[in-house]
Amino acid sequence: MNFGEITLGHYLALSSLLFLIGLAGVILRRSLLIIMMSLELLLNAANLALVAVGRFQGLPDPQVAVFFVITVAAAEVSLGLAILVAIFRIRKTTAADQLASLRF
Amino acid sequence: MLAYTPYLILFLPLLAAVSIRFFLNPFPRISVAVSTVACFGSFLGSLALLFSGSGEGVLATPALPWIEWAGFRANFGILADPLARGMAALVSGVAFLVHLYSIAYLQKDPSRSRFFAELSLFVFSMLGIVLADNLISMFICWELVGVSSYLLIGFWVERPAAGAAANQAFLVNRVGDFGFILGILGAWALFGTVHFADLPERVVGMAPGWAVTAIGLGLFCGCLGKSAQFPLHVWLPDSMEGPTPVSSLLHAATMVVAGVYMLIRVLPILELSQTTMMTIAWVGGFMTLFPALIACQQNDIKRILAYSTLSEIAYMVMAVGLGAPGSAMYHLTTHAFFKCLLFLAAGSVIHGCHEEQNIWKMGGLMKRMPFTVFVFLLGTLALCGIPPVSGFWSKDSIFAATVHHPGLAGLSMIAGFFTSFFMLRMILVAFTGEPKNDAARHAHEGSILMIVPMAILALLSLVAGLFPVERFLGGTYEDGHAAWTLWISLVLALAGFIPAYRLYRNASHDPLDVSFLRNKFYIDEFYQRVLVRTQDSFAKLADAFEGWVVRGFLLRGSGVVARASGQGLRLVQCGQVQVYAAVFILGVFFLIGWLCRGGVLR
Repeated sequence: MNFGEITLGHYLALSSLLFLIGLAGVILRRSLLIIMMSLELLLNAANLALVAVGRFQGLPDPQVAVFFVITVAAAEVSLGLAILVAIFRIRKTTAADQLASLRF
Repeated sequence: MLAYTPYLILFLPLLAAVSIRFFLNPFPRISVAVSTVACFGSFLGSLALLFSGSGEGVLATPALPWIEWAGFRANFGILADPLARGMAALVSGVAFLVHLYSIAYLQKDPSRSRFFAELSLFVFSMLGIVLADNLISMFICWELVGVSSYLLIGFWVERPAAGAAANQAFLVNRVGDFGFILGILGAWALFGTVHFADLPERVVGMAPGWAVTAIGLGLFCGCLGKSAQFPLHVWLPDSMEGPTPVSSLLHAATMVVAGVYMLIRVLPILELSQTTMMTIAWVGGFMTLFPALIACQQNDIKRILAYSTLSEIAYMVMAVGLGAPGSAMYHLTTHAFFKCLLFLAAGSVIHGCHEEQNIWKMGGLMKRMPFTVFVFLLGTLALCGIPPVSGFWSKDSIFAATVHHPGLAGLSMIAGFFTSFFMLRMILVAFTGEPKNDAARHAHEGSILMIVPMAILALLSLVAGLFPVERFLGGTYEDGHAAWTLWISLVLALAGFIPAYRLYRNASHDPLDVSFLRNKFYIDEFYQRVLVRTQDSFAKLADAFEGWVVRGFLLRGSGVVARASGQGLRLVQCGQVQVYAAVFILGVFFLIGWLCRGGVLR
């Protein structure tokens, strides 16, 4: 099959797909670890859209911005994982539906 | 150097007050010395200023720009014209003598540091009124004088009556000050200046009308409060709860005449309206007689003197209203000396009789306190206007001003009759006859520090009539003389002694009993009934409004609403972070959809 040339639409479609998968993961999965991975998917879906638009518009700025996003995301993930470990140590679980103590 | 002297005069007492309050309070002897020396320094400075070479003119002093806003300008400065210089010397001189007297009078009082700090504060603020070059700084010092009066009346904090009198003095003065500040604002609005020096040129060509009348009457309200004229006179007799040196300095010689001084300062405004001037003259004329009548039936030596003070200030107010500020200042000066003397002598009597103030419980003091009684007699002669003592000359010049107003002349001369009557009554009851109790039997003269100020003041009371007081006003105003006012007033003043002598010689109880005089025309009762009760019921109404509407309905109501809505919204929270995320995303989708529909995003 020949899908022809890869266009911006393809990238954006892939980005949307990734975003929806991530969204589903965040909302539906119970494990905090999986939820965090899904969050990364969301982030990278956005990154993909950004870099694709930048590439096709011939703009350097979005592509540069993506590097920063990736860097910051790395820091954020390390922080998130540390919190995750701490929660697991205290509560002996990482199931999101059991961590409901903020409720009245 | 001389240009800065007024600032020195002004700030020495303030420095003393502050240093006593913050550093010297535990050391009464040092506090007393510091306060007295500061006052003496001010007195020397005032004398230097008074006799300085610049003669009749206004001494140029540096002024600080202070308030400048939207065309409004008030400097912090000094107006050292002859009027202010004379008044400053008078105030600081009398204050120094009272300082000396107080050293002996309060010898045993443990809190005399506080007394002298408050006295210094008073001297500062009074000199501030005298030297102020504009209405704003005068008003500030005016209020400071009110504060120090409040503090000093209530000096004996353990006496409930003193506290009540202090409160009353402060509150009654507020009423007058309200009118005063309205007058100041009006003067600024109409004349565009609050500086005394600019007033004469600004009022030129100003048409008389309701506005200038209202401003004049507003300013006069300030005088009504501070100088205790009708209907705001009730505080002055009650202020006698304070120590006697305070009654002497504040409530006889200096502070209460601040109102008269202020009227003379704003005279260019007052003179614009004949209505204002006549109101002032008639209030003054009425007030010469009214307290003189009350004093005839009072039994407290200080209260009798307080009522005579009201009457004497009224003479000055009347003179201002009649356009004779020279006579007013003349009488202000002589009155400061002889009334201060009378109060100091009364204080000496009270001190000698172990804090007894009722004249019916004294008696026979002539033999035991000859010096005090002698100076008291001298002061009485001055007060009644008997020649050749000073009071005669100043009263004569005021009577001369009433020459075209027979009504005012009549009122003030009849007041002179009653003044002689109640003064002789007091002397006969308190000083002659047999001692009425042990305290009077063992009465004795005070220490040398009490005698010296009285001696100096007695001398001044004798000769103050010779002072060229008209120089105070730079020769702007001429005093008139009229033979018939002189003779009638003198005859009436002498006639007042006759009934007093016949009624009270060797009297052991009061042969007269006039209840409406004894009860001061029921003015206090009237205020109690009408004003205080109205105010109380209004306060109760306001309290009910506050309790039911503000606190009950608005405050508690809003609390109930907030709490109920919180309870309701709490049920929505499930604590599941994923549900929040889902709701959040749905919200985002909804928002994007809505924006696309609205065409904001394309």
